Amino acid sequence: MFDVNAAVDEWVVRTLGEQCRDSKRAAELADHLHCEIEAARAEGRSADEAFALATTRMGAPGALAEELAKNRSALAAVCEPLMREERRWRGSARTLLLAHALLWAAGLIASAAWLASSHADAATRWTVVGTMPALWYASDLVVKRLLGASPARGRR
Amino acid sequence: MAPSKDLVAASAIPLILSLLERGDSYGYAIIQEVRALSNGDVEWADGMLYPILHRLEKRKLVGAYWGVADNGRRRKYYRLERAGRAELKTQRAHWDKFHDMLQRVKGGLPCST
Repeated sequence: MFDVNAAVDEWVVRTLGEQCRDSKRAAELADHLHCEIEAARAEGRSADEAFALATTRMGAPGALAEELAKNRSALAAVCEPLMREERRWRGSARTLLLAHALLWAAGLIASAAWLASSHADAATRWTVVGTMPALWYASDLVVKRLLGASPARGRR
Repeated sequence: MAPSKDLVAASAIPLILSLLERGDSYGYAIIQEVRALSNGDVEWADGMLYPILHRLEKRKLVGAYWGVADNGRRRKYYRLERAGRAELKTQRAHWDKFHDMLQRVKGGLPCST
């Protein structure tokens, strides 16, 4: 007897190939194929006929995988402005990370130099040493929050 | 009469955003709704919709969440986000503009009022 679930799973693996490691994408594609199969079944077709028709409607596995992987469809062409914006944002994110790292490196060196040369009392020294990690943690949190609001978050 | 590929492509995002404005939906349902709205003239290939949905999701124009369909399967639903509503408003204004221009030309109205 034809096992629709097994056939769908196998088709999804064949279609997505490497991308199949992204189980959410595989689940979304499998759900779509099941919907197509159910529509074909509602038209009175047998399970294997419905599966064959549904996969035909979905497109050739190779072509579909390429489509899903490269976003090079005619429809995806309209996304080009969005893609440009995303690339621009990623450039800004890299700059932000680099600036953050350089700023902290400079801050740490300056603090160390000041502690070594100043005649500050022990309380002041401990205050500086104790404050630096807290400040670093806070600024790291801010940077992560900024990056978390980015289009790169949750990138597949 | 089926519209050209270019026109189908250009209208994809405003159509998706418009459909999601009516309520949360998922890939297969969106394709079916577009087919029904166009009386079968606009056929989106299954593999073409998802790259667009995923990009809209990354741009925060739409959000996504996993739910369970009536048949018990896991299903990814999409919803319109605030930024998506703003984008839809802009796109609608553009489409209305072109529609208005075409109507004016068709109706023989003066080019400027």
